[in-house]
Amino acid sequence: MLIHLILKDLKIEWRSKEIITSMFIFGLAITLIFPLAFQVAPVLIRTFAPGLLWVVILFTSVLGLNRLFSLERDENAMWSWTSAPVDRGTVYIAKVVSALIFVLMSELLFILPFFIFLNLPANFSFFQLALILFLGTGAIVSVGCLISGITLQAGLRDVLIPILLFPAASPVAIAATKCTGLLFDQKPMTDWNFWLLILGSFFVIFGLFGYLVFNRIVEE
Amino acid sequence: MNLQVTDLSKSFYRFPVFKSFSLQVESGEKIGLSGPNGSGKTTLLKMISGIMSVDSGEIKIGENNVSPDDTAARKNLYYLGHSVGLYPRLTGQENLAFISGLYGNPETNISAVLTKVGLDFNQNKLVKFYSQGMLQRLKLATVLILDPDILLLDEPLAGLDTEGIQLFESLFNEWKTGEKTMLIVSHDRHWLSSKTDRIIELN
Repeated sequence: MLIHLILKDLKIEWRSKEIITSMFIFGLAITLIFPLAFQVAPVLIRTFAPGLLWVVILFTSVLGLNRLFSLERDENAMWSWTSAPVDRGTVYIAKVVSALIFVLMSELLFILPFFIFLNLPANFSFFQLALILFLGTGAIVSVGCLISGITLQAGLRDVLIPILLFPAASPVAIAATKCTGLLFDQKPMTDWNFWLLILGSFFVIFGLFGYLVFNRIVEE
Repeated sequence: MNLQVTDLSKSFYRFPVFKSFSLQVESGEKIGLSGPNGSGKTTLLKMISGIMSVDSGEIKIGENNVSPDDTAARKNLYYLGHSVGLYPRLTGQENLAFISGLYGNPETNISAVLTKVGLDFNQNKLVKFYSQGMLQRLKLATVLILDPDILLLDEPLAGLDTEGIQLFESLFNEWKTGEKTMLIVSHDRHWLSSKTDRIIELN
């Protein structure tokens, strides 16, 4: 069932390419604005870069989540699974996986321009960066999917998602920024694995919480 | 399969639509729901199907309670509403395959069913390009695929052309001879009385 639900989201996105394209273009636009706005010494840019990267990821995630859940609102499409014998927790997990795929793909597209435009040295382990991106993005989308589910029937959902998500995801943004900053400074993983653990915990705890409560929050 | 609604209450913004409403529908019974706009006909069907939550009371399908935590009750039921409930960016065939998968049904006879409802030439067209009548035919195809024991029909003729109405009538006769339990919402009392065993007027 989980794969069936994920494949539906992937099929719709494969056809329209709307979510990934809009996230990539938006992420690229912010990335372009940063070097123009912060015309400061390269060393300062390097200090700010981890925070800027996670600001871009958080903003693009909001865009992607909003669009991903709008698919369910278009023509009341969500009725197909709210009236079906489907555990809605499974729908939540499917949404987290779909959102994770879409946000990671858009990150894959704008991470290179981010390093080029901000003139950042790439002298660190890409595997470790991938791990931070995966856990950080996972934590953001697990919180984001829960909030998107809560606001699914709300009239001002476009505004509500960022208003609710930014404070809720701020511990994730702090932990991810710390991890990324220490990685960029070429510190060993033992120096920042505590922050990585926070990201992982957020991902798992909110994932489980969302799975348990999604039944009750997605109702007309 | 029988359906039992006990002491159901539902309010919208403190405005009560249902107050201690009870209904007993026996297996194979066909019930018509009639009443003015805003009397709660669609709301009742949505609550029975699990799309909408109840404030208090109990809805039972067979032995199973309709609740978000219990998927068993929704297995034998399909709500055919006048709003769409389909993915506009999937084709008719893909929508049927998706819904069929949600109910754990095999996807083998989708093409045959689409041919039966007259959508064989449009099965690979995105649903967003379907007309109202075509959407209604696609929903009838869903009923044929799922073959539920309980069918909730909300204005089933809405948007159908003459051929579509004939198609519905022939399908309805098939369902009527079977043991399907049906709740049908319509504003046309005359039509409703010809199709159902009894009519419940909601005020």
